[in-house]
Amino acid sequence: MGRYVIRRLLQLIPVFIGTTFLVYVLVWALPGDPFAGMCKSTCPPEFRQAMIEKYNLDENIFVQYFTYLGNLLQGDFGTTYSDREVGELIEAAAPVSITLAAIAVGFEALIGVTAGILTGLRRGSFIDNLVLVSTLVVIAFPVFVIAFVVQLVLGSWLDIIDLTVSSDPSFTELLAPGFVLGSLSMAYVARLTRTSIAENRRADFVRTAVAKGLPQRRVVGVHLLRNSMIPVITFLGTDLGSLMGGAIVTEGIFGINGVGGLVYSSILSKEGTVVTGVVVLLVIVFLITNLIIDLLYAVLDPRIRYE
Amino acid sequence: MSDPTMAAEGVPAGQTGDYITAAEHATGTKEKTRSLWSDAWHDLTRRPLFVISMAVIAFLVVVAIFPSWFAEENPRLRDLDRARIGPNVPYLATVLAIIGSGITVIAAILATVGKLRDGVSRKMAPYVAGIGGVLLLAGGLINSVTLYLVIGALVFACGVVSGVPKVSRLLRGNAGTWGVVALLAVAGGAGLFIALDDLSTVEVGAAFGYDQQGRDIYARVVYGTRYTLLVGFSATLLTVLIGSLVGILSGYFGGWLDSLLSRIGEVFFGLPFVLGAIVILSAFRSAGFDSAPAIVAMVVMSISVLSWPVSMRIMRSAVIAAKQQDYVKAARALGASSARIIFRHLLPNCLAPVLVYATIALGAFIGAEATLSFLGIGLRDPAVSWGVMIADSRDYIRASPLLLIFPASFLTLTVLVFVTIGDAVREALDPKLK
Amino acid sequence: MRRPRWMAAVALVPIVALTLTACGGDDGAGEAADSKITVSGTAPENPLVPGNTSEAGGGKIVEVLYSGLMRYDSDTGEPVPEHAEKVDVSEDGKKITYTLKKGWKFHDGTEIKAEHYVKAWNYTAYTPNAQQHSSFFVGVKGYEDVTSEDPDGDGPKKAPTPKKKEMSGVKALDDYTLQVEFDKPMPAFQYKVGYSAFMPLPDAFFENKEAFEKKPIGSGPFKFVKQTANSIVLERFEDYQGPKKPSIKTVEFRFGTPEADYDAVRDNNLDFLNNMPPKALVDNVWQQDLKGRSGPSGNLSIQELSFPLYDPKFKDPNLRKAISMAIDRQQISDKIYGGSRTPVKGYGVPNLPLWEDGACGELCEHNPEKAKELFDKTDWGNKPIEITSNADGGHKEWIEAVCGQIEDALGVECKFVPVQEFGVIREMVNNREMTQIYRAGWGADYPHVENFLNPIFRTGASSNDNGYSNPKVDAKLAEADATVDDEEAARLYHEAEELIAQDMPVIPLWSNPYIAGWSERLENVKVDKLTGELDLLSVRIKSED
Repeated sequence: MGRYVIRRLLQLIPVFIGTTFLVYVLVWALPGDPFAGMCKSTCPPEFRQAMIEKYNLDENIFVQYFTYLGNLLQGDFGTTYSDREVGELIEAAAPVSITLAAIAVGFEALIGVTAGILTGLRRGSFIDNLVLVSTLVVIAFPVFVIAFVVQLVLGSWLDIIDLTVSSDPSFTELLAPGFVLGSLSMAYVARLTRTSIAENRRADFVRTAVAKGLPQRRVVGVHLLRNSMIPVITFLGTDLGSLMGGAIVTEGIFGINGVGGLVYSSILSKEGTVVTGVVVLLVIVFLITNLIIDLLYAVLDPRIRYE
Repeated sequence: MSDPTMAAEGVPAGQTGDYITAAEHATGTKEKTRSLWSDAWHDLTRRPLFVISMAVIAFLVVVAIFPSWFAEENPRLRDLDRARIGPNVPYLATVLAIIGSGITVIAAILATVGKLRDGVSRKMAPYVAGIGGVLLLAGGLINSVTLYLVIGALVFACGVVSGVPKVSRLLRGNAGTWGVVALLAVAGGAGLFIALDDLSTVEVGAAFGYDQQGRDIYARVVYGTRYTLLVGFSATLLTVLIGSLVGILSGYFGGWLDSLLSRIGEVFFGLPFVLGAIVILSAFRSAGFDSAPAIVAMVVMSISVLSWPVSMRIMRSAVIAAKQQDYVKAARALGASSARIIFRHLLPNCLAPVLVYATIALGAFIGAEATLSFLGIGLRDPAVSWGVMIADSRDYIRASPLLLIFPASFLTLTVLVFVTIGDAVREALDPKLK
Repeated sequence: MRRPRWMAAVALVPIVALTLTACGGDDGAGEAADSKITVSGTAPENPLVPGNTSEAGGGKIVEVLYSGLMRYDSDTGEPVPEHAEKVDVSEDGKKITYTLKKGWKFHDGTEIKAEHYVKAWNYTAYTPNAQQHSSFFVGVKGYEDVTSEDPDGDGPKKAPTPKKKEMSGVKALDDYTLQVEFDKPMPAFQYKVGYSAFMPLPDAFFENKEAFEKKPIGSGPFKFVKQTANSIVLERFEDYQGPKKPSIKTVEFRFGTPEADYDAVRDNNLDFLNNMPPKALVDNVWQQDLKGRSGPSGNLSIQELSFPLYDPKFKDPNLRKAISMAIDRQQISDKIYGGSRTPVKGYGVPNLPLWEDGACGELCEHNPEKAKELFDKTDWGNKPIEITSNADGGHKEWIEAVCGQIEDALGVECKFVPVQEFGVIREMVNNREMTQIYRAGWGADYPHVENFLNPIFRTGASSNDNGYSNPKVDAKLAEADATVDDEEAARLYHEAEELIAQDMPVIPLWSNPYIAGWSERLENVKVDKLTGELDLLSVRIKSED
């Protein structure tokens, strides 16, 4: 197990460098004036020179990147054009995004898994078909349409929620955006749970349990569910990571000042350091969650052993 | 759907998720069904939803290729005088009724064929009747035409009666079934007759009304089909091509090449989809592409670049499993070259899971294009897609929600149809789910 | 275009939110000691140094973060003394002496003295410091010595280092006396001096600029607390000794999108928004949503389309006139802006004193037949007409509509070519590389028609971006400038406008008023006529009962 973890960690390094380098190149090395977004009129040459020195733009891209990486490893995310610490920016934006992602995953787990269990245990029933069709419909709706529908119905017509959240949104304010954010994955979770349960119902260990004369409740609760939840947990875990950065649309529509909004506005204003900083963090989150989930497999599924 | 990488989750467990570890290289065993393809096809053609979805897609493809057959109005013609004029309801209602009645007649034909020769048409008839009934009802509702409502309700009831097993038992025997068939035929014919008659009295055109610039929304939806489907199909094709190629190479050769390619795949997989696409598209935006093909190419590229690792993983695990099979070993023993083994033996046998992924991804990519266009970095004039129309309508959602609803419902319907097909293909090709 | 903001606060329109509170509590300052309001904003492009903040996002913060000799009064719009105790203008008008009030402090507790003004002004004016407000010191004696011209515009060559670092015309006679000398009489300086370019800077700025930029130390009614990713928070500076003290304790400037900000104001999650997003203008939904807490704030800005005259394909005046006559301004105002834009037939805006509309005459009236006739005289042929602009900021809709009208009238394809970033367009305009018709807007510095004409249409003027030059116009403008009688001058400016319209280097479209909205929590709301910003010194929070 220990060796496996170390090997996986070593494997993470090239992936980490590759992804961050890719983003770095996309942000900094492509044609177009990197300062165009900053100087609404043209930048004075002195200022431009100072900026080029500050961001090492006169060096070749590899030197630039590794200088950046070096600073990053010392916890220095760099500064924006207006001299703000990128680390602080991310720190300010992260909590609300994490809460939002957690709420979304909570909805996925709650509604998705429940629907999945119901349908998986009763395949072919009316509920099964209903859930299958409704998940298809949810999957077919782009997230921004769902967001507008929720805003229109809950916000404008029923007046249950505010159209946008306040500057320091509370947990309850984030429920509706969280639901929107999680809606797509909810459908996947339901289908995944359904498939997984349906498969495991025919597995030998379930048959054995039934043959042993265990009560239905115990068969389902302990044997079937526990084993069926493995792929679902994998999915929820990776989703938590990807929702943090993938909430650009939802955050924008509901006026949430989170990581998604930060990175989107930074891309538009060409704030290279912020974009790379956020992406680096998201990649780290993504890689680590993947690793943890792999290890979790071994805990949940006795058939898997890493040596 | 905003994140097509998620489509991977629709693929059966074991074919996605994590890489198959080295140990599995050695032990992969998978039973090969000889008649997988014909079996699957047979299975698919017996699924009414699949057949209906395919028909819808065929129709959409025709619209995309020959939009001028379906819309006479120039989609680019702007006239502020008619800005945000609502839909031509009488006309829309009549057209819906005509289409609904036509579909009802088709349902009657299908039911007849199904009665005479047992086949998929028998299963499809209730669905088709249901769709026809809903269209008629919709036409009747929006313009309060009682006749349409009555006929629609009748047709819909026929669909339900013949479709729901418990209810259809009531109709056991020839008389009942033929009765339904006759009812459908009469209802469809009557509907057609009435609606065509109505058509001569209503003003023709602008079924969906006009948008904020006074452009005909119906014409724009029709012409938008082209770019919407173009992006979906090309992105899927490119994704599957890159992914399969890389997947085959890394699965077949293994070793350091496998490690390298897998790591590269992870690099791209690690980028969150929307975020990555925004970075890529805005980075190349300033490069000044403004012809329609160039814009489409950029969007397709960015979608594919971020999605190929998924299809690569699927292909790779399939190849790893297949290369342990006897027929591959036999071919190798006979001295077949790597290229021959890959193209003659592995490729045809590993295509199934990738195909499943592709059909699901297609819907996802269409949704992704809409999301990117919505964010203002996807397609744009002159490449107008439904996503662009939705993006243009966002300021008018409260005042004129129909500006959003028409393109959004076509978008949703199209994605739904593709996802349904993907679902059906997956079930047909995955022996575990049988 | 650029929105210079000096005299930004002139002529505030008081839009007073009339409120019915149970006890009519007027002196809310005491109860509302912990009051906090949130105001929509945009992230400042640069650190909050007054001499380098020209855009609106930073500008509205700098305005309350710093104090100066004068501050624009929110009721009259006139500059009233803030830190200045006494102002003496010499007889020849070439010298102004300001006597400062004693005991005024920067936010770090150090006293504001005359030398702080001298140092700040010299710093701002000195070319190598690259401060955006340097040109505000034009006319001050010795300004030429501290500035230098970049030989190749923005090219690789650096501007030569100026001769001196200090303007000879700005002197601290003692700690509390500041003297400014000019090359020639400059009555306008007294108006300008309330603008942020003329604010003093504390010693801390010159000691450690980096630390200062992270936490600016001003002297105004509000002091800097913190800046986060999406907001800047200011807090009332209790030692502020200006004539008017704010009632609210804390102000948070939130940086969001106009769309989300609008919803937030509607739901009372945000207290003030200076301009409505396009979605609120559709069918004028803001009037229902923000009933009794919104209103047009006026704005001295005009929307125009400019031709790059250096591109030979736009040489023919008939082409330019044809396009102007193809546009139905009223229709666009009605259909796109819910009637909120006022079409203009001249180069000024309706709320300018003494300005008369109509210099453009029939050339700015919708007349498709005449337009087509003129167009057919040109050799434009079948090329598509292209109009470019930045796509954000709600410009897409009206340019698309203009294009539709052009296509309709002239029978030639018209395309809107969006550019992602405003900066890219600015750069091309400044380098004279435009090849398409482009959107131009002008926000006036002060309410005088002169400011709508001289900077744009005079040969070689500072914002004459499209290379327009007509000696007759130059002569007419010079004559008007020199005319003392206001009415007579206005007539001459009108004649100049008529001359310009005949050349149609720029198509005037409509004036762009702002519409502000605020939450139900606020009262005594006053909105700036030029910038549409909230007067933070007057606004109060309703006492709750």
